[in-house]
Amino acid sequence: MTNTLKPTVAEALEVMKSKELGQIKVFIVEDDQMISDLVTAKLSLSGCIPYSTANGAEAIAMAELYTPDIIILDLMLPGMTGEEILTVLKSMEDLKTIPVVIFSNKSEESIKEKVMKLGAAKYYVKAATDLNMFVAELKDLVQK
Amino acid sequence: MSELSTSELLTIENEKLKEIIKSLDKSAQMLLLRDVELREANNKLTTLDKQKSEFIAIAAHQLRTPLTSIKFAHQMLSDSISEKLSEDNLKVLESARLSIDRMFTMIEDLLVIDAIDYGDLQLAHESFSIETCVEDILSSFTEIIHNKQLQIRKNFMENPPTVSCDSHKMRDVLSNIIDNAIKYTPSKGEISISTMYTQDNLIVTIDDTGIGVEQRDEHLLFKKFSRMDNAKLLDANGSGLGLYIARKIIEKHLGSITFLNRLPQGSSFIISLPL
Repeated sequence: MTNTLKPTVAEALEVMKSKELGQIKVFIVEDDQMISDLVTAKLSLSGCIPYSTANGAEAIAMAELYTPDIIILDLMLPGMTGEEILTVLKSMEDLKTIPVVIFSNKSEESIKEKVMKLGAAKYYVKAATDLNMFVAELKDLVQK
Repeated sequence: MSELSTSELLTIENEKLKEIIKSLDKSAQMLLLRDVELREANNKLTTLDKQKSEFIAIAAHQLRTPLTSIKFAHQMLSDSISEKLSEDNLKVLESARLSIDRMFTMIEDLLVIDAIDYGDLQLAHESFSIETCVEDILSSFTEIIHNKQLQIRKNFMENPPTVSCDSHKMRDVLSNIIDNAIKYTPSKGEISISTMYTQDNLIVTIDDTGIGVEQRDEHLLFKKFSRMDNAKLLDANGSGLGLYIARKIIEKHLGSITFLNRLPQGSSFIISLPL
């Protein structure tokens, strides 16, 4: 793990505070900045604690660092693909129980089937997703 | 003139046969050449077709990304400022939402058409309630139904069973037919939707008192890019793909879709799906 990924004191306090408030920590792995910003803003407004990265290669280390309650994962990412990240996450003892929802604009059934078999909790085609419903369903998945 | 001997006749016949064989050989060579040319052309077309599909898949993905941002930004703005907006400005926001949805549908249609043409239409198999889906679709048309004062009649049994099908694609099919019924039924008209379960099939019937289809145009109804003249007068922007896609999706589910003309007024669409 690189030093740049170590949480700051403020971040660590924020995580502790979120646990006390029962807030959901959501980790977003998304390389499109605008989509990432909008989802992050929506999650914040909905009382969640969002973290994000645009780099696939950083995703595993950041997931280990923040141990989120749920992960939103894009498929086409620089560094490491969503499928590769999902495979690694599901092989890690500490992280394999964290629900991972795939958030991609690929809509082919073969891709959906493949990632669901790899252990994804749900598949969303971004452009077909209602943001309010998405956040509500994320909360449901965490509570399951 | 002296008669030719048998031997001479045979020689002449032999020569003729040799000519014929030579000509056939030449034809066979030409056919072989044509065969090679056709195979090469076919290979080129297959490659081009594959490249076209790849291009459509990439273009669809690339178009969806900014569309997602627009959709999310619109949704967040609507959620936060709707209450403060005037009725006129709310209509502007609603127009933007409808355009976003239309753009998304067009991209979806592009992908589905390509999958159909390429013989690669894939289906998910999920538990699906037709009745719940119809209710959901109708609720998305509440405003236009109200504005046109349309009577909606539903004939559903209590606690209907679910069916196994691709829920998104089936929703697209039903949405398309209901959308057409609403669009092409004049004010104060009637739309009836009913479901019936036989031992082996689910039958969905959608009747309307709309403009109907001229008998001469009926054969075009489920054809790609076909639009009826009377439909163009009411909606100039349709792509002519909706019913073509609907039929292909239903057929992929091993079902059928039938159109019944009820001229002078109205249409019926009957969908049959195996249980």
